[in-house]
Amino acid sequence: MTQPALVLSGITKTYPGVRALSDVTVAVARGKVHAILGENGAGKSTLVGIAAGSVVPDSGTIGLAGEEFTRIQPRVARERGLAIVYQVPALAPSLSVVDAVLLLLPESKRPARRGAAAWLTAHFERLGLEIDPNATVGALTLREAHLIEIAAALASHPDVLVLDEPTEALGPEETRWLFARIQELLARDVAIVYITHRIPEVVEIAEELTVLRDGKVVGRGKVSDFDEDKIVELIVGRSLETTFPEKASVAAGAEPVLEVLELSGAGFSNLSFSVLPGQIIGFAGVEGNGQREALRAIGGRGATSGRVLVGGRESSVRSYRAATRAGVAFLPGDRLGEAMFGKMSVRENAVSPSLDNVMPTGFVDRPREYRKTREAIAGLSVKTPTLETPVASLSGGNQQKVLLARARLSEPKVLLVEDPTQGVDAGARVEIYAFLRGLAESGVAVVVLSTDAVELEGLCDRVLVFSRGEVMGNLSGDEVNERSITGTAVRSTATGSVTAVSAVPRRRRSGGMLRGELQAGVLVALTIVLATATTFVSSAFLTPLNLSQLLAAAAVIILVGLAQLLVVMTGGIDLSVGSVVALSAVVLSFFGQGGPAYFALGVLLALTAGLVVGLVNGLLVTRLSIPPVIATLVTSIAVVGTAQVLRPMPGGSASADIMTAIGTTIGGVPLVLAVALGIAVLTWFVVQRTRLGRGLRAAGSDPVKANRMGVDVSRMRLFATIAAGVLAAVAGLVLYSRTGIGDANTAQALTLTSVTAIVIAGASIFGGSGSALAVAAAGLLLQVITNSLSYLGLSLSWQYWLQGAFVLFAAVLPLIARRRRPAAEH
Amino acid sequence: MNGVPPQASTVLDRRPLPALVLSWPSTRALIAVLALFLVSPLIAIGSVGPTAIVSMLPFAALTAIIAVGQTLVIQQGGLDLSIPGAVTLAAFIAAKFGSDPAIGLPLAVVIAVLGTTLFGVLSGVVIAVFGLPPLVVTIASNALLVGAVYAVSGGFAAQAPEALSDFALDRVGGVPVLAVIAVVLVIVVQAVLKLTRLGRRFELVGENPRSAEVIGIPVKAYVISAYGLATFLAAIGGVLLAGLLRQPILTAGNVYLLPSIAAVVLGGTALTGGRGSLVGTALGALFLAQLSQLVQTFTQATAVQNIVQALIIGVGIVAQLQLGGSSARLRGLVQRRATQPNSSPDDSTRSVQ
Repeated sequence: MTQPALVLSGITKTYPGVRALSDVTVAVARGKVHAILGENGAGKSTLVGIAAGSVVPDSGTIGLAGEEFTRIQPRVARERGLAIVYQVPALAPSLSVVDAVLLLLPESKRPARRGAAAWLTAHFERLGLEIDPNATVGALTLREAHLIEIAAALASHPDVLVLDEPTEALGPEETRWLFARIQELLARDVAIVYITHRIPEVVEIAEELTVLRDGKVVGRGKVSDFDEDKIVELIVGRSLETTFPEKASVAAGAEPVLEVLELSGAGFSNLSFSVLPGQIIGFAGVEGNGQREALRAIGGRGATSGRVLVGGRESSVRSYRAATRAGVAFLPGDRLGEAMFGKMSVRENAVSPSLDNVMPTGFVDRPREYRKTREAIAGLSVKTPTLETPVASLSGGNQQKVLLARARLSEPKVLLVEDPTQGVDAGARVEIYAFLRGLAESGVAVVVLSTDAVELEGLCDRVLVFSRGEVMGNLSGDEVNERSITGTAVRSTATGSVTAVSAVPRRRRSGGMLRGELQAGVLVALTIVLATATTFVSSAFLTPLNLSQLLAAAAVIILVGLAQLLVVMTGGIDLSVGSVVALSAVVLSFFGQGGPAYFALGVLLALTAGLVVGLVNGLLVTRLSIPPVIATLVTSIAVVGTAQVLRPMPGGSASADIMTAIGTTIGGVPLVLAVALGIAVLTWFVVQRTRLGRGLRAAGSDPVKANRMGVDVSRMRLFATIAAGVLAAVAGLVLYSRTGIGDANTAQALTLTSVTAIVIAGASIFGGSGSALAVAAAGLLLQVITNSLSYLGLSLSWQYWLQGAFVLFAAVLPLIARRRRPAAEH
Repeated sequence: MNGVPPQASTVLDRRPLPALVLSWPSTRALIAVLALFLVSPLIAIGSVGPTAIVSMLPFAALTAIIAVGQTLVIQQGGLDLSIPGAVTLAAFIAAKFGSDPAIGLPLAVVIAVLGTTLFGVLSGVVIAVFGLPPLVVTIASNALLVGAVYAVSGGFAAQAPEALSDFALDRVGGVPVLAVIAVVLVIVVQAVLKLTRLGRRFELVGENPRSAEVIGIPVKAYVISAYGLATFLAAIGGVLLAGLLRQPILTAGNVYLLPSIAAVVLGGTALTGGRGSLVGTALGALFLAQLSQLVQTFTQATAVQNIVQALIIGVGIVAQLQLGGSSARLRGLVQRRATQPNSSPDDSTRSVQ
């Protein structure tokens, strides 16, 4: 036997309050499919995350390609032949498909950027996929993103391929397609790690299996030694009968507590069902078929048509507020993100929706709060040191119990729960099931959405199976079993091609590059219109002197805009830009009276000063985790202070020779503008066409996904702040070339201008995208505006008002446009 | 697991009081303030004398008033960078219109405060409704405010009316009236936050707006009111500043931006939003004012003062942030440093071969 391709040994990983993995050892042999099984939250994804480098283990080793690592960087793992397809595709949303694939490939397998699109099209074609390589990742459906990740993994010719629930978002056709690819890889002796909770798939393709429960290995061996029932028992940890409470016996003729009539909304349509007292209804379906949207709509996100009756009374679900008032409580599945108040205490969480009841006078009553909290968690055995413990530090199971307690305390008529046992250990699951059943028996209509068919089988009286936004199966009685639930879900998606519903509006753009250039074009056109209009008012605007002054000043704005662009692109902001410009000009002003060599030394020193400030900013942000605003605000004040110490009064005029030399114009265009434009083109090229640029964009677009893609996010941020420091210093040099004097107090307003420039250039203020060419055009436009104001007889106030208004409008417009689009599609 | 007795009796309401008090971030701020006042006489005799303190207090009070507003915004996970514009605009309106007999001081103060507050409400609406980053929005509204400053001032410094300066420099029983105002303000706002339903909801929204929305809290109203109140308080600070300075200049508000944020951070309010301590913020403001007093005894150059203050504020922020997080974070910092040098030489030697 050859040695295994991947060995994880003694892996332990603890999250606050949860032991995700304890002492787990798995060896994956070449040429075999090794299935890793377990319930939601058993630790499967954490385990493969560790193998791929996106999760750092507390202890244990990772053996890959004959080497042992205590921790491994995602990039290193990929270089060593490990490819991974995540459960939620790890593709930074602002990248184009081709950029994303290029980032995912290890260096040895990567084609040149030139021709990469053609190469990718050919690769997709070979695999039988039809995806536009220039589409933006954020505009893809979940299914397409999955297929792209799989295609990228195949293109990297891996030795180990990790598939984390790959068929979750795929239809049966695509699943067969995937299995055929897996067979090809097996023939090439590739080791495959296959994570799933679909047991039939395991029996079909896997040769070996490891079962995890609550972070521990509870079973391993050859698949042929187990039958399906035995596997289920291993996964769940006990027989199903003892896990789930007795189902309801509904009295005949009972009035429904919740009635939903022909409800339609984004992602689902024509939903009708009712819940009788004592019943628990389940929502099932392949991920992305509208079940989540439907649940959320009833919870208060709102629907476009249809009616919801709670306790026989027509209820508005226009907003969460209205739904809550009508007695609908909704517990989202993303506990930390949108259900809990993580840093707040168990008490504050438990009473949060019931404040009117807990504080009837409007004033805090602590003893009453404690009493109510204890009342809420009664019978749930919440394990917490005190009631003041932050809820985020509890284990997943206890968090969920606090949330359920909170829901019960608010005395709802309807309880909607999304993924009630996600990340919950087996012991707590039993209690949660019993709690939900108890709540139903007390007359609350309970609706549960779950991805786990076994759970739905055990818990629900009736299950609605969703497909393409509509209910395709309404299972009740004996039909409520795992086989029919998954069977209905898969069968109904089998008819025709799968078009999964995506929560993201589908926007296809051909290439982010083109859009940037379009924006640049519009800005240049605006500049010309404004310049022409100003010329009509005052012909003095068009004199060569004014024009060359204007263009040289525009160079400064372009440079600070580019500096800001790089930082914002990586998800930060730099408020020290203006101060660095001042410092650079002041430093240079000490070298204005010597010879050219002396002046060059000054230039070097000024640039070094910018680099140092950028480095300090970057280290503060990446190493000390100080928010970028605060870090750069502090350095900004220290830097401007330094400049003021160097030159308390404006001074240090340059000699006439130097002024003439650096004021050179080429055919009316100042040298400094040419330099600035050159830098803009270079920046554009780096950002759009190189690996570094892809890394920068990915880091700003989604740091977590970027890290999974193998991008060193903090290195990207550091690079951006250093480059910004240097670019701001260059802007300082240009400023000095215009004024010929060092003044510490002139450049502060440039920080605002730099932000204005990137916002009107259409760069995303949330990070991830932006065109350097558009920034250059924006710089030109802004300077023309400033210059025109005096010719148009407008006061200085307008310079600020226009900038402020520009930023607000430019930032708000794309958001309004994006909101309109999905509405129009409907 | 089944053998565990019913938890209800074993779960405590809260930790014992001493441990609880020590865990408050404002306790750390208090310790820092006490330490600074203890060290001050060793560095510069007379820096803690009655005259020194009475001359320092109005500035501490101004910073505190403005920083209370900043705390509210930071509790909502935001940051208000329009403070300089708001302070300056209110100062100029109060000075300029207040000197105009046709308007009169009281009306001028009302215009100054309410007019300026409108800009804050605008920021709040844009942030809450469109979900834009607070940084960008408040930078923009700062530009709008500065534009208004130029429009009101015509580009020149203004002279505050006599009555306003008299009020701002007044003392109540030997204590500067500004300090009294600040103390009352801090107590009132702290009480509303900690002792009322309204305050609790405000904290819930700040901690997690998405969760707050799901349980039916009108999130937008709270966010908008935070920005409105921040600008309102900055405007009050601006009016008082006009009285204190007598002749406010066009950049009068600029020096209050960093201190307003630093006071909040030193006071222990998390920048990620949620719970906040206004007492902590006030202590932070006191710390900053005493610090600048101390630095002034060494140098009169504002430039050097700026540098020293930025450095010390930077250190303070780092300390409070790192200590404020869990100790695991501190450990993580050390570990990262320890592992980084080991792995990078490895990489470089490999690539050379």
